[in-house]
Amino acid sequence: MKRVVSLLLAALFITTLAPLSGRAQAPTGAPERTKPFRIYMITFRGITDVERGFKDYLAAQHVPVEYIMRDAKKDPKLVPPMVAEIKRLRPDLVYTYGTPVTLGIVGPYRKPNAKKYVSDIPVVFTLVASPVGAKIVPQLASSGRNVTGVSNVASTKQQMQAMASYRRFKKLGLIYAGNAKNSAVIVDEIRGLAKEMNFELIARTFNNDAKGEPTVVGVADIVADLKKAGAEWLYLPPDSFLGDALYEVVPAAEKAKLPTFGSTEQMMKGGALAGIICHYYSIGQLTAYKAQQILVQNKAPRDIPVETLKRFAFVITLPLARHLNMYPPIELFNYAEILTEAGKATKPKKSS
Amino acid sequence: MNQRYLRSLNIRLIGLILVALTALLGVFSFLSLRAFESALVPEIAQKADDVGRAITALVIRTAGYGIDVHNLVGTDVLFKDIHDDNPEFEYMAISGTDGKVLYHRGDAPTGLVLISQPGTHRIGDQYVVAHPITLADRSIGWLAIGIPESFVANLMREVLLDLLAVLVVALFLTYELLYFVAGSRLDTQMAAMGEVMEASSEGDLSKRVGLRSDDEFGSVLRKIDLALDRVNAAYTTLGERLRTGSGAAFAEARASFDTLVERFHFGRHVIADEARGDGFLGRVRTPLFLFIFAEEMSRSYLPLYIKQLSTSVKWISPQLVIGIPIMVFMFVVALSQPAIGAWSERVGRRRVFLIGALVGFAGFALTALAQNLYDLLLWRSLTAVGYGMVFGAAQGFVLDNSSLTNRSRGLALFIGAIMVAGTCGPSIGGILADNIGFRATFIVSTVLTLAAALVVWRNLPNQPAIAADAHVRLADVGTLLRNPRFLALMLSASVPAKIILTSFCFYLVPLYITSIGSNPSTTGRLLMLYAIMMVFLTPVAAQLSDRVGKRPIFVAVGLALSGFGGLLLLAGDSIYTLLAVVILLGIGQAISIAPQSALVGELVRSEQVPMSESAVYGVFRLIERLGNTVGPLIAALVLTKFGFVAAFGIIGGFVVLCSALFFITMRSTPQAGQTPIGLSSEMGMAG
Repeated sequence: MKRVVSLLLAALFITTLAPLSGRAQAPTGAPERTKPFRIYMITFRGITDVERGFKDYLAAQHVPVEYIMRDAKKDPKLVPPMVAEIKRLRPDLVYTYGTPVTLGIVGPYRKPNAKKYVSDIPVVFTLVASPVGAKIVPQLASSGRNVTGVSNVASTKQQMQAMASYRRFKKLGLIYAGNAKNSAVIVDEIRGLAKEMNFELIARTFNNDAKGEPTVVGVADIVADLKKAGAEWLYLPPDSFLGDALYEVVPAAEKAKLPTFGSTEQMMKGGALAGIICHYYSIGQLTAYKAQQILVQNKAPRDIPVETLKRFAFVITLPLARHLNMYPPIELFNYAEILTEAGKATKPKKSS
Repeated sequence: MNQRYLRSLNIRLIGLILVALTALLGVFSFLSLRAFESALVPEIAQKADDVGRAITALVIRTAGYGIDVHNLVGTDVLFKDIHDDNPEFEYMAISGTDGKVLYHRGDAPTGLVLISQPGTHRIGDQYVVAHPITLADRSIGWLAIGIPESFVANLMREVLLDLLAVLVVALFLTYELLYFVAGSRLDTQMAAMGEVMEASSEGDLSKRVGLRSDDEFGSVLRKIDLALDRVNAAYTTLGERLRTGSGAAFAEARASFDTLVERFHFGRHVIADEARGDGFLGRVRTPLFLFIFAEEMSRSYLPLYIKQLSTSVKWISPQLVIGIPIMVFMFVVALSQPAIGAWSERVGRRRVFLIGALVGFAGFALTALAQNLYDLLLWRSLTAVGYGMVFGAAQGFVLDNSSLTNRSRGLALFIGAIMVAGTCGPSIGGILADNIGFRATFIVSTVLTLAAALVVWRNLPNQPAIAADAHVRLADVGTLLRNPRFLALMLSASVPAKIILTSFCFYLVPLYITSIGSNPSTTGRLLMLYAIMMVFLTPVAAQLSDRVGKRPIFVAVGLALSGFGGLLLLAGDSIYTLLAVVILLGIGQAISIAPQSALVGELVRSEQVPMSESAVYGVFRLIERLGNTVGPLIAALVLTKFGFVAAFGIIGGFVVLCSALFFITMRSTPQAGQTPIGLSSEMGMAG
């Protein structure tokens, strides 16, 4: 929270200076900006708290903005046509939500392709769990190109340590969609940590349907198997299919008496036992701050580091803890955010 | 009434004042200790209260979420975290409303059954602070925190030891102060009076005290002078009248007058004009003491200060980094001594002392403000230059103003100031560092150096320096080192003695003390013990070796004893072993130091070295000082590789081996001659 406050203060400072610099520029002939900035905003599953935080922030900063809203409807195949549209409309900034959309718009940094991807218009991404792992940027300090953005996930190691501070474990269960590249990256990372932190990782993928796409069918059995194999936690990685499947996964885990640890706010809203997360609204604000730096301050995206919120909330669903008879250690009550009502995921209206 | 009687009167007077002071300080210490004790327990209970509140708040919060006190998770980790921050909380427990313990850490005091009474209780060997835990007026349970009585006792002991150290220092300081205020003048007056009286009793009526002071004693001295003047005047008048008179009666009178002239010696010969007695020499003692004291204060905490300042330096282990400023200081002092000696002969001791004190002032002030290792090195070197000037100037002043007859007393005065500073400095420095911090303690040092400068400015006369007859030349060093006996003395006795001294006292002890969780005050007290051993045993050992001869045995035994201390630590490392190490080191050094100097003189004669004795001493001191320099270096290297205990052991073992080697090479050395007293850095603490 402190970080957000200081960002807001910094932003406030910038806005009080902005009119002055605007006036100072006036004699040189540049007219004060009244025409709104056009932001091409691509969501993945409709409007979330991230977009609300983003829009509220810019509105509060009196940045005139006109949004061109597009939704990928959880289908990465819908993204390439948007590239063509962006090139035609030439907005001032492109906003991309999540790893698949972002990759679809800017492509991996190693294979620049001006035809296939957007490269001459600034792009701000958000809610990308692992920007380096997904090859969107070579390092967080600078993308080296017309891209910057916000990651929403605490480092995997921080998450593992938080999990252990709640309840020590020797075996960690994990479930993810086998076709999601970003999830595979995270699974690899946890494998490395398993050696370092001395635990065993049991990773399972969702079943595939006839078309080779992941499906929730049979997920209860997978979770039960993980429990049987000795998993002491079920880790829920930032996997977008898993996000949609929470309505099946979380109750299955509860039934198997397997505690769940979520990596995003979505997981907590879906009823996970605990997690260290960023609130989506705050992520939206931080993303908007970066957009403001590009639009108002004319900073190049390559000069703006990719960041995540410095403070995460340790969230605990107390009713579930009581039900599982797994109260958190008393010291967590010093700083954890205690949910007195369990979240509940609903089945998405349209499954991909 | 002779001089010795007067001196003993003087000593008795000072002794009486010291005894009275000791009693007074003793009563004062006892009273403040009592006051401290009665304030201590509530203070500790208050801390348990504050920490306890944080724990109960947590339990209350969980209760607010509907978690029963019987279902708490992770109290073991909570208790451990609290214990890590408050190691004195030996026992911690949470109980239910019935007072029965549900969770605990540590051993409960015998006799604790139920926790059901709020407040501080003395149960078994612990003070137990109990808190009720309540949520909205409903009792949830109890929290108890037990602090062992021994913790309180330990704190008391720490304070007691500090008071004791202060007491010792106060005594030494009082002695210095008495000397400064009354002693030096009284000494001069008494010496002069003694001389006049003694001469008069032997018939020499030509001497006068000649001192002008307005106190009671001064008026007595004036009356003595006056009386002698009258006798002399009477003699002159009588002589005149006898010469002019004639007749038998006159002839008889003239004959008896002649016998009078034979028996008595008349005239006016004022002693004070030429007396360069101890009192005069003493003028350099106080400023020297102040300056050395300023430097000695840093002894107990300097390594910690360096540690705190230094970030890591590439290629060099952190232990070595800590050793570097200590080495550089001694290196600068060692190398600057010959040049400073020559310089102060040209421009005068007073001026060099003043400049040195001011350079030292700047050095300490900048050290207090140091930002990192590199500028610290610079400021310590600056302080070392100042130290070298003050040391050299004071030594030169003593040599200038002492004749062969009172030179040894003059040097004793000089060494005494250094020893007392070495006794008081580290302990006071340690206590100050504990309470006001490292930087502020350096500021205290700057004040002392200024005071030293002020005393010199007011009291030290500007007189032409007398050139010493020898300076250290490189050629001399070469000549001497080609002499196997001298080489053996240097390499297997003097240098090892300095290495073990500086590696232990300046480097390993301060660092080791902190590594086992103690503080600079403890280091200061230990170093004080070392210095006390030196103060009391060095003269005893010197006299004994003068009587017995057989100096190589003294040197070897002393060396072996100091080395043996280091080996002792291998048997078991505790603060008490360290105490033994430091005491043994003190005894060992005290036994060997004076005989070592004496041996140098004897070697000069027996080996017929083709140079003056003082030139040989110059080389001896230079090499010895270089030994000071390598001590911390060796300690740092061994420490990096093997750790504390082994470092003490290895250096100790090395010194024991050296003593054996020395003894074997020296067996055939003839024993002859008297003890020449050289200007040593006898304490070793001085350059």
